[in-house]
Amino acid sequence: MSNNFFGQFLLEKGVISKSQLLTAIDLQNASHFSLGQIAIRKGYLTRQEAEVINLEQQRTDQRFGALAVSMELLKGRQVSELFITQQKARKFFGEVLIEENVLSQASLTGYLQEHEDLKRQSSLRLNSNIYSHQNGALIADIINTTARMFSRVIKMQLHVSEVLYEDVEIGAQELAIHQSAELPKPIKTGFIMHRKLITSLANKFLDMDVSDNPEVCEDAVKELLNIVLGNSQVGHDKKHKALSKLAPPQVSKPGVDLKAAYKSVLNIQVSVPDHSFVLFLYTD
Amino acid sequence: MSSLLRVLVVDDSLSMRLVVSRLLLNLGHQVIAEASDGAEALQLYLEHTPDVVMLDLVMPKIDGKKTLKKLLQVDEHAQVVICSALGSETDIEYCLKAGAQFYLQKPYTLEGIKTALNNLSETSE
Repeated sequence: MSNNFFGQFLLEKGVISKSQLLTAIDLQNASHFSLGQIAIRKGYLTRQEAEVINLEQQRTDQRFGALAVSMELLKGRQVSELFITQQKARKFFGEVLIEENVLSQASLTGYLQEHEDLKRQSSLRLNSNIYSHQNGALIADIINTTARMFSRVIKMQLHVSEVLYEDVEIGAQELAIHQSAELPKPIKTGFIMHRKLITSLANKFLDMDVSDNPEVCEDAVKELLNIVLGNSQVGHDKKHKALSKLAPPQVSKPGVDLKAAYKSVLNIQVSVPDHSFVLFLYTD
Repeated sequence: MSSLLRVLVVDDSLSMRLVVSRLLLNLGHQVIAEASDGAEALQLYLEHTPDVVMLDLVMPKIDGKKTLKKLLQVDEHAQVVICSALGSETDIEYCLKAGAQFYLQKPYTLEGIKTALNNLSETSE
């Protein structure tokens, strides 16, 4: 129950009903306009130009504003103006609940604080699973970077289908792969881990001893990684060093900058130094 | 909340089925069947007519969203709790609008399941 979405938190807490949640989402959505929509309305872009930027955005992981400037369709100051207009119009979920007399300002403040605390606890709990390993910080960073890099391109589709026991090193035969059917270009995601790491992660995650059941262990770690990827919670500790400041993970082409390798999608293998955790992403 | 609910657990993950079943048993409910995909879920639903379906969202073949729609087609009063690691606003909105009674975010907790099932009794006839 990590509840990244505040509305889900309130629903699970019983503060709002399902119908109040849906009404608030509708009202909130009605207050949100994309930068492209605002730019068209202000006459800065034509509909066709906005579509071109949107298409380009789907291909890359760049933001609309940055792309529009690099394509010389908008000036920097126009993008800033669009942002301000967008932010002014956009209503927060809690704001809508106050307008609808569902919550008072005081209770909203209290619930927001409670939600933040819960997210922090949830993050710590997920992190404790990962960080228990000697290379936990690095594993967390790899997962987090992966989730972040793909957050716009294939959000929620970086799905781990299988985790297998394997004492292998980078470059060994490909295991634990998944092909996402929803992507225009198939992306395969794999994790290879040492037996001990899988067992310890599974036991902690399930909060029960399943050491004698390899099938359950593999499945539990698959679920854990999907939850971590889905929530992008790992590595949110502010004190945690940025990826670039850590000892560089190994990538398929030695010397290739990790972030660049992620962006050039795909054929990447990243591993912690003792090879107990390997992540690979590739296309055919 | 009724004292005993007959629950159908649908999740392609063996470990997640194990955990949710254990938690449901701890809460005094009965897991009448487990399915690992949407097709099996539909078949078992018709066979057992459970009180509640705990339905995973991301599954191979027929995913949770399609299964939800099909379940509601065969029984418009089906009580479905969507269970997923994906907590995006869009997913939650989609499932609740499609007719799910509740959206429960993984990982499973005793408290989360309890809340979901409490919510069912409030909304059921």
